[in-house]
Amino acid sequence: MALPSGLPESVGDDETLARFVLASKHFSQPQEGHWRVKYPAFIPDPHDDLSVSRVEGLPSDSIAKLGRPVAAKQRKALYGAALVKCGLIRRQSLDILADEPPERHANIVGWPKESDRKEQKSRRQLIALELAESSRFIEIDA
Amino acid sequence: MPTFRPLQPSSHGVSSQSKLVTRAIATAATRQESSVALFGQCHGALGELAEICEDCAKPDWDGYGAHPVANEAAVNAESFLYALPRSCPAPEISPEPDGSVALIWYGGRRQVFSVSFEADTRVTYAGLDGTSKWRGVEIFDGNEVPEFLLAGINRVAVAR
Repeated sequence: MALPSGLPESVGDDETLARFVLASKHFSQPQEGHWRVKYPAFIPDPHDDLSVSRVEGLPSDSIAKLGRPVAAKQRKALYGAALVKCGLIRRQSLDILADEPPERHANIVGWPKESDRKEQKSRRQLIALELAESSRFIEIDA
Repeated sequence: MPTFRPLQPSSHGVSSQSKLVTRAIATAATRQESSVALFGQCHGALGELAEICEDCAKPDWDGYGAHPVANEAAVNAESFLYALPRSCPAPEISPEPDGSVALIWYGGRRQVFSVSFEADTRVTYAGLDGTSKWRGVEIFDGNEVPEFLLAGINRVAVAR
């Protein structure tokens, strides 16, 4: 079944997701020509899920166009987007569920839960490290 | 929430929590006098830590509903930086959306180790080194860096 955006409800492993980066401390200046996303950009807290957008096949300016309303709503700058493949996310035992509106919005769900909060945190920390290390950062308005 | 100021122990708060923070900051200020000579490569990280405390002092600093960075978390991260050996490479620093502070060491491709600080002594860590990965919880008493954490730093950062 198609969503209002025209995308299928089911999110494929080969799709690319964007996590918009609105905090200047969540990425590093270019080193050897490429930007680095820091893992806290992928930590879902204080929510249960991580909010992302489905951007497969979109050029950078279209990704920016999707992110600007997100930043504007929060009165933040839009520094960039961390791009990551769905297949890699599912390899961390997480899943991606479409969640429109807004168009192309989805959530990364299934983050570990533990009775010991620190144990839960370290499990999420490792997953976020994996996602950050596998992501590609595109600069938007930084 | 009081602002994190490593060199200006100016808080007049009377709660036990604020006394703790004030004392920790005063200790840090004393140490600072000799830090350039003794602190090694991590000296520059202090400024970044103070900047993070200022930038992330209000809720929703990340646009996704983040909690303010806890002053005590910053003090713990600072104590950790001071407790590191002089030869230790400087980490990158990042606020976390739960109000904690992360120190992150990078090496080559897929070589990264992070330690996260909250207000208490239990720190969480996670690391990647190629196909190896590890994580857990350790106690940092404010003075001595646990050997397991030092090994994690050296494993990824020395290889740079």
